[in-house]
Amino acid sequence: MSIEGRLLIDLAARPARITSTRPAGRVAGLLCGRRREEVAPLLRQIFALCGEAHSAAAGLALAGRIGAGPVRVVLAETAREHLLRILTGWRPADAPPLPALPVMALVETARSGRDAAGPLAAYLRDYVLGTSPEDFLALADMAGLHRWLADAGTVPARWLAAIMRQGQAGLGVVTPAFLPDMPPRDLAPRLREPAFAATPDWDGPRETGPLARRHAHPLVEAAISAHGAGLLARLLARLVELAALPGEIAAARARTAPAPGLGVVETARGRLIHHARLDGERVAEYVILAPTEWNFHPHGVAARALTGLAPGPARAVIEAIDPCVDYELRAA
Amino acid sequence: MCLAIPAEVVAISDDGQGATVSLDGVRKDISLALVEGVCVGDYVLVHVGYALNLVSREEAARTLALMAELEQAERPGQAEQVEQAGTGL
Repeated sequence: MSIEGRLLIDLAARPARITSTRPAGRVAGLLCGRRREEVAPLLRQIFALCGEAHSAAAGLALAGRIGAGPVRVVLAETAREHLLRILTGWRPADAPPLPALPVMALVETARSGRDAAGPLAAYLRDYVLGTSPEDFLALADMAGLHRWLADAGTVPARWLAAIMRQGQAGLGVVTPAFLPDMPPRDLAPRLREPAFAATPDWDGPRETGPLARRHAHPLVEAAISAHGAGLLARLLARLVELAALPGEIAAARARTAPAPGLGVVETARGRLIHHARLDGERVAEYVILAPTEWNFHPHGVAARALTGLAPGPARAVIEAIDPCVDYELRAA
Repeated sequence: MCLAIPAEVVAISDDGQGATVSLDGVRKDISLALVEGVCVGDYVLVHVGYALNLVSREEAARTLALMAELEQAERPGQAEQVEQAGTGL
């Protein structure tokens, strides 16, 4: 079906040319005229990957508040999405696939009010990190990373070690331009601009996602110092985030909207923003700004990181930045 | 922003690891590595070549009706772009 759109990435162009056929305004159009309480369940049904995040963003935008339960569910969804990327990509050719069912169960576990942090921590220890999330989070430098790569013994660690051996740690290095906190009084008027939800900028194109969130962690910082903000730093940021999530799920608290009508939620792929205006109990206007629009902006982080790369390395970088739709690569 | 478009399973490979799904009449081979207990006639949500979830026939019908509505909600000027977008799976 053609309605979700995709990304066309032309590596022959300099800088790499990214064209999106994602229909930014379409889902918003579907919401207009609906009753306030219809919106969150509808979004959960429409979005396969980040339905819980959309539902939570709608809860903030339309009701001004979400409880600790939905916050935990969004964090569980973030963990599932990171793990799906690892399950489907971080694997040497000769390695067996990691078990998928515990990963796919995380969101339902959190939704039913059961403990998702414990199963997540156990899965990470057994299949991904080879050590406890706490021990992984204590890694603080490249020496620690090399020790971990040698000792972990997990399939993802073996794959990461191969990336290092093949000299790909610095693939797709960019000068970071992370999306900062956006004061609601500055953000709200921008969300009313027709082009903003399709090609957003905040003093220029910005990057959102795990690297933007976790770049200050000592291990990620060490990777950026050693190899630049490229492939290794992005992959480590994802692992650091995964390791942090059990603790964050356990500590989740209710949240309130930053401003009336505004819902901001961090998802696996970056910041998701909803903006709603109600007319009585019905939606009069709705804007959704998804993280892929920042990261795959025509002049954004992916376009810069991919410039000059061959298709193989380009795929590794694209998958590390992690678009939420399929992409087609064109090369010279 | 991957949409949860249900695809009908029309065949399962001999080793049980893969399936052929049909979406709007377009057939596509996908991996079943992330789900279990899928049978021919079931509906699954698909992302980049993997079945993510099994959905009931009733839920699939509801979601497909929403997707049809979504297509109606298309904004002017986007029709041409969307036409060349392929399957999006």
